[in-house]
Amino acid sequence: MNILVAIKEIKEIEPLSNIGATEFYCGVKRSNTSSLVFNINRRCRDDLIFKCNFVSYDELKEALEIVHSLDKKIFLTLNENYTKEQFKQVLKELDQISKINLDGLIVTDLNLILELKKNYSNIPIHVSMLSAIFNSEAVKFYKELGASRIIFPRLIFADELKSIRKNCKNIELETFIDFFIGCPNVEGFCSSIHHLNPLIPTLCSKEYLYRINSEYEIPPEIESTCRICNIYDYLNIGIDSLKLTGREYPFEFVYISSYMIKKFLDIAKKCESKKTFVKLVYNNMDKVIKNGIKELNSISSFKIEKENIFKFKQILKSSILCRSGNIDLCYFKNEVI
Amino acid sequence: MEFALYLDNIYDFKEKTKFYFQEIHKNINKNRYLFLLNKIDNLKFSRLYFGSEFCERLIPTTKELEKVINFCKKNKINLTFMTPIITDDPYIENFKKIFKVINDSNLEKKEVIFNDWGVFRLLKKFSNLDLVLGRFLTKQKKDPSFIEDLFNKNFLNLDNETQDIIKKSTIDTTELLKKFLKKNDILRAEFDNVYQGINIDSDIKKTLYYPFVPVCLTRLCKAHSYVTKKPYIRGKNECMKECKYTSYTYSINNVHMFLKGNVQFYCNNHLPKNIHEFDRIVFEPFEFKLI
Repeated sequence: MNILVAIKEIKEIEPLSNIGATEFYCGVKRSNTSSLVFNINRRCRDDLIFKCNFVSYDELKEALEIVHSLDKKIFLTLNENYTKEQFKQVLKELDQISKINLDGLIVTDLNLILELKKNYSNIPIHVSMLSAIFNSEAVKFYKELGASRIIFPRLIFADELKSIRKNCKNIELETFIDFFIGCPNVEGFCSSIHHLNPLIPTLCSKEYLYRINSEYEIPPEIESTCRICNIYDYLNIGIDSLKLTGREYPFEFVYISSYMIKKFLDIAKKCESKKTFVKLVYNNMDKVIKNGIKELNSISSFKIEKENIFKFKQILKSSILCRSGNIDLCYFKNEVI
Repeated sequence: MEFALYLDNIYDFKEKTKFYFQEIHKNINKNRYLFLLNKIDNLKFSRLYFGSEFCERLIPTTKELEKVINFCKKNKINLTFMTPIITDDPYIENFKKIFKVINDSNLEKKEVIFNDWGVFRLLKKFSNLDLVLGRFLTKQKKDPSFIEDLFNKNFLNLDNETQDIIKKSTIDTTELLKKFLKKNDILRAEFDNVYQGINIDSDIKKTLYYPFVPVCLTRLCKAHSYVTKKPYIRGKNECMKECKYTSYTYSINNVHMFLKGNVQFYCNNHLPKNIHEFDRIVFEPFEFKLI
């Protein structure tokens, strides 16, 4: 099972590769305008202090050379839904993309998928989680349109993936395993304007507006974005790739998370039951995080921000239930496939 | 203009159908939305939208469906069956049975709306059904949170191209997609009555939903937790279909929002200026019993 990690700078490739990342994904955003015409990549918030994409195809090409020299793969996101005006820009990008030896293009728009099938059959199509694929029939639909990999939404459960794997053999399946995104919406069916500009108050990720506005008593919510215990399930189901998002997060976050996933994946391979795996996760979590931070500090090519490590620890505490003493309330620990 | 009535369950079916189908002429002036629709054309509902668009747990049983089909037959009403995104088990098999019931019924014009391309693939096996592209697949921008400021040049100052983009959908983006839809006999697409207006350049038949606009959908539904006041724990949760009788309201940037089960809506009372480009309006009655 591959570990797929987000990158936004070339210098991130080697350290992530050294700790077990076998696949990478990224975006390219050449313009810093907030105009939607150029918003052809779902993460478009790059500005002077915030970077989550490569800034040119030259940078992507350089990344490709490094990744391929390490015998690993790199995928590019072109994962918005496009109007006619935006699609003109997309076609220009496709011209550039077709000239480089890309391992896969992450897409959701049916216009783009049909365009790739017709005119760019050499580019492998990875159908984004934004296509909201929850069943075998949908996987078959996209496979018939030329998709080589399906990326499932965050809100799919292990038993649902198991059924899909059983019914769809010859296609790669990718699923999320990350801690950062608390958004409760099915991304493919959310019509908010995604992170257009941090200053504009859009509906994005704000399901709790009701809670904020409510005059009534609302029961507490115990939410975890951690799916570490699912690694065992995903391994047994036959998932091809585990995706760790984080283009918009500091490198420290991505590094320690990747380290954790790799370590727990290695442990899962040796476990005979989920129960044993869950126990080992619980007992080893602190040690793995500590070792991850130690490894991170040993990278000489990076200036490590202590503040980011502190923030990361805080996020882990709030998103991993077993760290906050709520282990019995973790659904994913008990999920049976 | 064809008018359709939206019903997502059969609770009070008799009363509702009596109100909207048999006695609509008496009730037009009792409801400001109906009153407005009547100004567009002589309001008479000739089609029923039935089913579940938002949640697989609310898909009607074949028995419920048969009841609705019988009503449609008896009253010469056309039927459009709505479907949500689904997971494999047991919904694929359930849908095969449900589609067979509709396919084999002797209703004249029967449509099925799909919001999941997997459901579309299932539907292709049923030759008597007209296929309709659902409103979650037409990909309109529906973010209500900055409606007030959308066209306020002193605030957002959106350029003309951006203003145009937020009125668009993806179904008219390329000829390739238009041909794909035609080739697959998808001759109608559904649209929401979004605040910023709608600008679609396509020959496809267009439906407009009025007045509620669903903005986003989750699989982490808290309806059960809200009703029972038990803590909500992320994961697959209990469901007693509480959303059928509960909903909640709140505001974001002065826009009134509704939370019903796993969906958030806003309401847009105004009809678009280009209403003549639509040949069907689906009226969504205000069934939110606010808590």
